[in-house]
Amino acid sequence: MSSTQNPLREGLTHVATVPPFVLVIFGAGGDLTRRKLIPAIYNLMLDGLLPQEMAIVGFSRGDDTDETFRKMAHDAIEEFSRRPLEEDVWNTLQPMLHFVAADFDDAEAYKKLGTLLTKLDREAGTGGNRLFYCATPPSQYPVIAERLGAAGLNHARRDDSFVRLVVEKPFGHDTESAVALNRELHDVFEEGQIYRLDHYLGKETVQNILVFRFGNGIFEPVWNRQYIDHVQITVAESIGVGTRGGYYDHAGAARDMLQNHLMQLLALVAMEPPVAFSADAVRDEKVKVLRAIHPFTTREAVAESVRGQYEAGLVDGKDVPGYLDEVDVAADSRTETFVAARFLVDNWRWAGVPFYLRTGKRLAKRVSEIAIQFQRVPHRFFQSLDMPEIEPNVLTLRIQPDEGISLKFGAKVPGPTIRIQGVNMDFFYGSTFADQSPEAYERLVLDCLHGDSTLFTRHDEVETAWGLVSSLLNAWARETSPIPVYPAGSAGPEEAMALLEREGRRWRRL
Amino acid sequence: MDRERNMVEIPLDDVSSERVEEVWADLLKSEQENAHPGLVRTHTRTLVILSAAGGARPDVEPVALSHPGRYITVTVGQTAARGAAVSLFGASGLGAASELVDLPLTAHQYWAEAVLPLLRPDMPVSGLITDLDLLQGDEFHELALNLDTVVLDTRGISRPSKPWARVFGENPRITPMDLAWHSLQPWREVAAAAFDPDDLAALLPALETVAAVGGPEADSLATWLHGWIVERTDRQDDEPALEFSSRRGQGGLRSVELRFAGGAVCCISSTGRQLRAEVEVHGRTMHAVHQAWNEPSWARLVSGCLAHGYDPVFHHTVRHLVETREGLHEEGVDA
Repeated sequence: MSSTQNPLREGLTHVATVPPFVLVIFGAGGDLTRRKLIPAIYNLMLDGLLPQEMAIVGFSRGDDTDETFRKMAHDAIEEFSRRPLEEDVWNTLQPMLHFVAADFDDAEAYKKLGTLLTKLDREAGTGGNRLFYCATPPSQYPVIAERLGAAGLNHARRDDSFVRLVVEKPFGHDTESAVALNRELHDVFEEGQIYRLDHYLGKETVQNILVFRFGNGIFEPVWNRQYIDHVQITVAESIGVGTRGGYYDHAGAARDMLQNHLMQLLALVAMEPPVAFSADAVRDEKVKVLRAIHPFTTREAVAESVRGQYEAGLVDGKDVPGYLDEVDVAADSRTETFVAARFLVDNWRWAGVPFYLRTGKRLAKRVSEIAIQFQRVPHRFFQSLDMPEIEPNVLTLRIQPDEGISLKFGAKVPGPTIRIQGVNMDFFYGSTFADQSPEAYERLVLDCLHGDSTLFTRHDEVETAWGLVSSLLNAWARETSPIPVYPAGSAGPEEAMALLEREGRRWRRL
Repeated sequence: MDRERNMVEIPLDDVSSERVEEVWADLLKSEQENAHPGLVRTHTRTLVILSAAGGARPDVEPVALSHPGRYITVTVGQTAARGAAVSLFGASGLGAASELVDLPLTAHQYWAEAVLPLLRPDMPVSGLITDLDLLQGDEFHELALNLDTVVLDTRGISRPSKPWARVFGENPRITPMDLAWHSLQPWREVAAAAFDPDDLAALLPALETVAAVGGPEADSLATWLHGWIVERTDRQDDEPALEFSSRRGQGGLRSVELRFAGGAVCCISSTGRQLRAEVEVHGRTMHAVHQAWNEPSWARLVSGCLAHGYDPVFHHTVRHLVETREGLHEEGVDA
């Protein structure tokens, strides 16, 4: 299929029709499938964005059948879809759902899968297009890729069909494992076939960072070291590790959040304007800025970062346990549930401007935001009036909750004397554009089907980000002193405050 | 979503733009102080809705809900003069409000004078004309010069290029939008999808006839579809024929058939909640696509139109129709 010669396409919302396809979900019995993938497929179908010639194949351990998989999908839509289940749409979707019950390393099962896919091509007209989605623990990615390759399912059978593989973050657990994972995937799939999904990039507000920066004329001229004092990026969660203790205790905040979500936000804020809104142009600029981040020596890694672990405390007025008392967490665990670090971007635009990043669990509240703090006025014109120091301007991009943008500036308090007070000018995404936004997964699944990888991370992006975070992890591994702790419901360990205070700065209040 | 409307009636002898602005400011302040401390005013546009008395009352609330802004509804030709209703309107919990004003005017009141002082300098202004007779006369001329966008509804108009010639005659730089065109979006999507394969796209220059079947609104919709295909396939000097086959029943288009030299046919038809397009060459189906479809409400069409914004394809299409059907070129009316 091609639309390059179709003059009727210009100006239409849909870039092109999604071609016929089979989506194979590995780990179809898991939470991701139930909560995100099936509702995303349903909503795309509700919007008429999917072709009639399609099929979904669940592949998972256990003894599910087509019928039980369909029942699970029905329940998942009822429980998690952003829009109610409509029977006629469901009646169209239901017969398209199939299930293969097998272990991920069962070579015979992949032959059986191949037979099913060929049958679907013939009977459902799916055209040989396959999207393999790994909704599994990352440890299964290499096995699945290798088995797909061994069964000959990694190549398109025709020039005009596609085979793509989707893997979700985390992509490895350090530089070496990320490089090894990329190598293992590249043994079987071309880079252009691999879609590394970080759902953060599917969020409207994250995409809006690019629009805000490059779709407005007034911000880019001040978006540099001449005007910006520092940048704070915060992704705070009030929840604990919940049922993910087993996974989290081997990951920690740096691997789980810093290496992917926060580094992606940093890249979007600091990157140069891409020459086009195309996959490689955007990703080239992101890689460029990640490579410009000053790499930590071991000593710098210790001095420029803080980690912490939550203790029992109060969140929303309720007692919550400390990290060491969570289910599946080792009693002597040194895994960090909080990390803060100071990064410098060594390039012309950002030289000397610190980027402070922090993320953690069981913090005072759930908030994700980027705050750009501008430099103070160069001449304290009002100082002679016995004024306190004028607050600097702050531009805040709120990613969640209350998605929007605020600009803080000083205004004169009405009265006979000059008094200045900081005021906020607020833009709320949800109230200005009241139409319901699609879920991140809807956008990302659709992009995979269209073959648009702009919002997916490339192997060099992943490896560069790991290089930065691994230097922190390596330095911490050598530390023997106790890991700093913070009470659940607080803003993090006191050491994190000191990271900024030593430079005369402060974290924004959570 | 619960909706909230806080309204004040201004008596007839007190109606003025200053008074309307004052009431909006008081309402906003009162809401901020009392019910909604987080209330903000983040507006995306000013929309002037011009309608004639006796017609259906435009339901602007759903539009205002999804596009916070200033909504000025002018109902022209009331038999008796009445006061103005000024309100703030929004969804509870959203924290943003639209400013609404209803201005009922008699035939003798000068409506451009009532509207122009209420336009804000820093917001784009759209004019939604629900009664096309209001395009006649000097008052529209004055308003048109202050509009960035005009939205018409040419569904059911047998010659949709005519009102557009009037609009462009008054302000050639205005951005055009049409609810008829917007209602065709799913038809255009499915038609485009039918020609996605390169070998089928190659058929388009050989289009000979566009044949439409449908109710009374089919004429204008088919005219727009035909104009679109002509413009997109660069056939201005050699237009394929346009045929209407039926005008019975209710509503708009039921099917459109594109016939090509050499025997190829593309049939696009509505089947309940779906649009389906099928391309046949010598009686053999080469490609079939479908698209979900619902007849949208008036408010949804207006919202969709405003959200979509400037559509260069429509601009080219309407320009082409106005030039070929009405003899109006960019620089003015053809001699």
